[in-house]
Amino acid sequence: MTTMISKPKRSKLTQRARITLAALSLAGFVGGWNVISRFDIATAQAEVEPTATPSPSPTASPTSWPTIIPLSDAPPIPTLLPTSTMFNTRLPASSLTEDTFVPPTIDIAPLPTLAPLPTLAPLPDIPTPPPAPPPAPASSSSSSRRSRGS
Amino acid sequence: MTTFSKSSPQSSGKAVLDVLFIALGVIVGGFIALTLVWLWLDYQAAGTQSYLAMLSSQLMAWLPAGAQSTLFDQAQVMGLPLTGETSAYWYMARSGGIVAYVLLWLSVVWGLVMSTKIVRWVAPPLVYGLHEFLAILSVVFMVLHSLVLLGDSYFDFTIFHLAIPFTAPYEPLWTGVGTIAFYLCLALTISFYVRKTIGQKVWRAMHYISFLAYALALGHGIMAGTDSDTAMMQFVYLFTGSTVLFLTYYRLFTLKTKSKTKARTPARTRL
Repeated sequence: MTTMISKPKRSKLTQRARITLAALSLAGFVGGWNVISRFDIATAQAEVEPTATPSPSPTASPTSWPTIIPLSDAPPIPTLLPTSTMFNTRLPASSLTEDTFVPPTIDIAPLPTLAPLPTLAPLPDIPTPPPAPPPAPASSSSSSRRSRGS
Repeated sequence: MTTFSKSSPQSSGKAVLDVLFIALGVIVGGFIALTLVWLWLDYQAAGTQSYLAMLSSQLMAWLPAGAQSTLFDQAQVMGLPLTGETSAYWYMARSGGIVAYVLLWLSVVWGLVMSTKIVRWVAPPLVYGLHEFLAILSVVFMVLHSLVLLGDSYFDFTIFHLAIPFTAPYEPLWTGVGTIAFYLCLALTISFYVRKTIGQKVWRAMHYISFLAYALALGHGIMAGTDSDTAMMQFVYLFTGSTVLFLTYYRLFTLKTKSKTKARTPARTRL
């Protein structure tokens, strides 16, 4: 009598397991791609941005400085009127294309001249000095001591 | 006794069918490959007006608006579309390299687990199948890691740089080390399919190359990897390297113990 010994069924790596492994690897690849690109962008941004330097801590000033008037309250600065006479002249088409640029003739309006300044009247003659006074009397002792010095 | 020296009409008919199927497969495969190449060239030339771009926009239209904007943002971050001077190829190469390395590590560790018999609760065919499949996946990602470098405009890699070690424009020594690691892994993966032809002894001897391949891949990753100076990758290299070192040492230790017990056994039987 012969006895049939059945071999235990051997479990192999199934097709589903293979697909799962491949899908996991692919997901790892795409995830890694995303993480690496993010990391690179963050590193590049950190290199571009200057490192934040610690600002000096504010200390109380011993004197109170006067504040400047805010600019918004200041009156507007008068602007010059645009002169249209200079740019109204049309450039000839040939002057733009040619190598040598020929400047156009510009008619500038004549500037108004100022009125002549009034001349001053001639200075009067210097009067003759008065006659010299008579000689003074003899000086005191205190004044002679002072003149010698110390 | 009958001998089947001549082929029967049934078997010759089957052979003809096989040839027909192979020819059909080659034609269909070639057509698909040529179509993909044409689509890729069209995408590179026309950009957003290409068929691939239009197809992707059609697919995007089916998604809700929120998902569309999220996907668009993610695509921009990842350097897509793959036209012009994009960094996407470089990111892909780095990511592909890391995935390939992790898969190679898993394959080596799983092989060591198999040989040291640390894990006994998993059926040996399952362990072997997983070891083999992880090695194949690793080679696939190695190929991806290399091929995407061809698209990178910064370093101008060519097939010549990728195929011949130490000729790459970027880190020629360590890139060359990576190329050698790839060839070794490819040879090991092919050896799974020719195991019966080459014999168990040769196959086993060949398998010791896997340690060298792993060491070369680790060296390539550390020295040529752009991300190897990050804390995360340093941890990955340290952890993976130390586990392989520990398991290799354990394997050598168990081999030594086995040989000692074998040497003692005949002496006892003599008594």
